[in-house]
Amino acid sequence: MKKISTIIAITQLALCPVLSAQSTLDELIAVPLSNPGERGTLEINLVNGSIEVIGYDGKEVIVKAIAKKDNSENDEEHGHRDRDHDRDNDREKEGLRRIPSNAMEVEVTERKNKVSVESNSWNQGIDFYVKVPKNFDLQLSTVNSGDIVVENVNGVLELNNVNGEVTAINISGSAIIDTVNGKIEVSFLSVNSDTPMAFTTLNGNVDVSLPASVKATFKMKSDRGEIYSDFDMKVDQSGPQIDRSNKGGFKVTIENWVYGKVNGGGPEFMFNNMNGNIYLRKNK
Amino acid sequence: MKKLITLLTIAIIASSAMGQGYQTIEQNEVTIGVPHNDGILAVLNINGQVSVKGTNRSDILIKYKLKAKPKSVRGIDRAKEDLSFDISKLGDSVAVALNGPFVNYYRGRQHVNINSNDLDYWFICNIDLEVPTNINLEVATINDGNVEIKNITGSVIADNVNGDVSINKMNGQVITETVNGDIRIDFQSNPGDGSNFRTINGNIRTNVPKDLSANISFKSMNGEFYTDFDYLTGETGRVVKDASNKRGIQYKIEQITKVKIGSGKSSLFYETLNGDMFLRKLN
Repeated sequence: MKKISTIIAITQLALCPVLSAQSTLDELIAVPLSNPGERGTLEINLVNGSIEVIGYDGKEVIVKAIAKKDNSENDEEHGHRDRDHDRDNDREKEGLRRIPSNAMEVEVTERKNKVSVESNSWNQGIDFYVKVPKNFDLQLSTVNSGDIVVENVNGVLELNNVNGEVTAINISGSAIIDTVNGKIEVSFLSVNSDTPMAFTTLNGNVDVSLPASVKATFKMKSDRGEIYSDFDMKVDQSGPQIDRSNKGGFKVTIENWVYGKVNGGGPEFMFNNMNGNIYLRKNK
Repeated sequence: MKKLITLLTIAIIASSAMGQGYQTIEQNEVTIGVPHNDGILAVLNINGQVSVKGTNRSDILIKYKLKAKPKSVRGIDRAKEDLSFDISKLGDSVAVALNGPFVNYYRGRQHVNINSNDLDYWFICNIDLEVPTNINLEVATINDGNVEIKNITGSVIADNVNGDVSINKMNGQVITETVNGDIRIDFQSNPGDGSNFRTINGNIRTNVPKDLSANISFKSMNGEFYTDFDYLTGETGRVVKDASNKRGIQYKIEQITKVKIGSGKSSLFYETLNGDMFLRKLN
């Protein structure tokens, strides 16, 4: 009986044009695809907030959005909202408390199996928890106060953060991942045989696990850290590069890239950071 | 004698400088009977202020002064041809409106489309009304003036575009909107259910009795809500499916903050884009 009620709940979710969820912070949207069962794309671009995407054995994209709580009644803690206040304005607020607001607006659009999420996350921090069918491409980005986490997804993954980590576990396919302040942690179950990949951060470790049989050419650079790996690589340290320009002059650049061919070489996988180590591991 | 003439000339120059060259083209005081049943009193101005005062009279007193400033020799004549101050009864309602060739009525709504470059004159019309307190009002202006309302126990719709809306001694429902201006309302009793206050660039200041009982929802892009009441907050959200969008099927979540004060009798809505919202206890 319990199962039946669950099914009823789900159909209601799918059919009802208007749902009201009184006094809860989290909202759920189940988005059916135009071509269920076929590969789709999920695009989320945030300013403030985290994104977690998990692959599951379903055919819908389920989006859950949670507004980050704003509990402060104190204006000082919201200095950024109040940058241009003047003295009159301060006097006006005397004896008053600020009511914390969590006004969230989220729009999810589905077109030809592409699901795009837009929101007011530039103003109100929002954390997204999304379930996608396992074969799905992802284009995810955020800037502040959040991490990107991806699990159990097979596809082309473009994951982009600025002040936060990027974690991708049990993924397949290919990935281009970058962040500035945060570590990158990735574990592949399998990789596309012909696609180049890149993993870049400025401050943080780059830790990538790959299948032992992967055929690739690693291109690695850690400005202030070390590179560790248990892959057997034919390492080739690049020498000075000379660019002759057709204006008669020439430029010598010294690059500290380390190239390593794994299992005979293949598409280029780039690993790059400045502060932090690079770990390239074989799947056990 | 010569001295007197000089003085007179100065006086004339001074007065025209004060009026910035505007001359009165129509000025009058009119009374008209009150609207019947569910009828309203609509006052639709374009340039200039509208002020409405609730009194103990049983009819409506309308004082208006229409002024124009010519841009060309024929300017004043054109203004006189174009502009008319109309007071009319429409069914149970009473309409007071400044009309001109640039005003159209479509489906019962007033639409004003002026390109002041096309006109030979500038104009401004100030309207003052004295009305019975229990009247239902719809008041609007667009430029060069505020909407001021005082001592009303009916329901009020007050719109402005480039100016403030201020309402004093209010008892009842207020639906008000402006674009570039503040909204100030002093309620003498619990605000009417369904009251609605919106501005784009401006603050909303509401003063209400200490025993306020309201459910407030508010929304702002760059503003904050301030109050000295004790309150309970919660969020309400809803999911809306929209299949009509060209970009694909769209699902929207809109979640706004709800605030309960007292027993939550009247629901009130505040919205600004750039500006704060204030809710204060009246002393």
